[in-house]
Amino acid sequence: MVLADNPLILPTLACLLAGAVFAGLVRLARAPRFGAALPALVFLVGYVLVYAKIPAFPPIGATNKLFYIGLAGLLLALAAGRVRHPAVLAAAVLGALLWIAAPRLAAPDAGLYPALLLLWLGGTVVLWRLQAVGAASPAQGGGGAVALAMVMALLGGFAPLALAGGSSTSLLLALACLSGLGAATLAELVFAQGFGAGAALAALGYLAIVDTLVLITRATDALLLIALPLLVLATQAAAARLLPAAAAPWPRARAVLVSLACAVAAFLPAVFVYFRDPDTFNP
Amino acid sequence: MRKLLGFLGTLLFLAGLAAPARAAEYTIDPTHTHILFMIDHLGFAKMIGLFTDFSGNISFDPNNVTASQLHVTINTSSLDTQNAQRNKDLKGADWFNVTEFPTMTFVGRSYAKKDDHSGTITGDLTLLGVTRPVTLNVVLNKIGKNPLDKKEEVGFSARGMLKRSDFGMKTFLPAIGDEVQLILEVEAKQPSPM
Repeated sequence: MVLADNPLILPTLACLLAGAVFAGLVRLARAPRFGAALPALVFLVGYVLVYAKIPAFPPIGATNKLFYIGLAGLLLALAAGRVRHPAVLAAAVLGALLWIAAPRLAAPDAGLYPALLLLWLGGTVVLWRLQAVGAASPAQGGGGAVALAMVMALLGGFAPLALAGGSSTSLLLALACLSGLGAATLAELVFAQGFGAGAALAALGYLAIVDTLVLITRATDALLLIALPLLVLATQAAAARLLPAAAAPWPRARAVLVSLACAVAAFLPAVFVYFRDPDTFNP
Repeated sequence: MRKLLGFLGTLLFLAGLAAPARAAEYTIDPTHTHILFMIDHLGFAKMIGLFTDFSGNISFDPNNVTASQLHVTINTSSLDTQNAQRNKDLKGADWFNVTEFPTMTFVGRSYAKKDDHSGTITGDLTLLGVTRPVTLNVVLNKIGKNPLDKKEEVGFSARGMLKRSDFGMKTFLPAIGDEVQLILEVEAKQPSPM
């Protein structure tokens, strides 16, 4: 009964379970390559439970397309061992973006093309940086755990912006996925299985939520959505460089510190929204 | 010549008697028409929403109800639930998705008379690109001349129910109810005589 009463509990528990079980299976099977699919798997589990459906194909409407973009992210992530070229990232982001924007492309207004350009560049940069951070060593302030923690920071920062921007469903999906990614990040931090660079493509579904919010719901604060990834990416880069060399012998501690710095940075836009209008987050 | 004119006159008179009565055409009066819906919120109470921008036509003859016609178009972005944040959410991609589906339509398909003042209309409701049959229980309140503007007018009250999941709107099920109660109070007028 409690599960049915609160729409957040079931998706959160299911994503947590999916993240933990999948990370465990990857370790048992000694197949870290498949770990790259984890963010997409968590996304799909969260989607099915938050939206209460597996949409029919071909999907009608942006929110139904989200599922198939997440599925494409999963397949691309599994194939990412072979395709890591930045052009692949850019093409994947553009494909998802144009599919979401299709109804508006039929009758474009003045704001559409700048928004598309920003979302494409922003999305590509985010995936490219996630890939680079995932491929870097913990001693360099990177690694799989930091890359996953950055996705978590982005989701955690995005959730309140989604609520303010007219999508309580995106808030729930982001929070549910946070729990699944949290389990995976913890597993990666402890076991260092090397989820690696391919995991970036698995974040395609998360980017598509942002695309939908900006292009279809159209009630969000675009500047804050741009500021969020800039803050997180810049913080990761700065933290990786500025952390004292003394931390180098403890790569896990270094990864935790970089991740925490990203998390703090991610919440700054939400803090700004709160002080601008405290009523925004009233349930 | 006089006989011929008299014959033609009689013919026209008889033709007029033999012609079937034509249903009157009415246009929905947006000022005095209200389209509301109610949906369960977490089991505590019903949330009420309404649409403020719509248009439609009714073709109605009380003596031949089955030949009626009804077509209503609702501008989904006119949704109002008395809360700005909720309005923003409900107009967004997860619910009514007004960017991709700016209108919802109801087209009457079959009309059944229960008694002189009530019956049902079953029609096709198209919402979020999905078309499903919806039946409305209709009460004919009054038909006649409006005492203020002297136009011929008809007034109905209609009630119905749909499942939003039938239209693919499954967000927050079951916490937010699946069944949506429809409440329509409709006044429609004939155009002014030329």
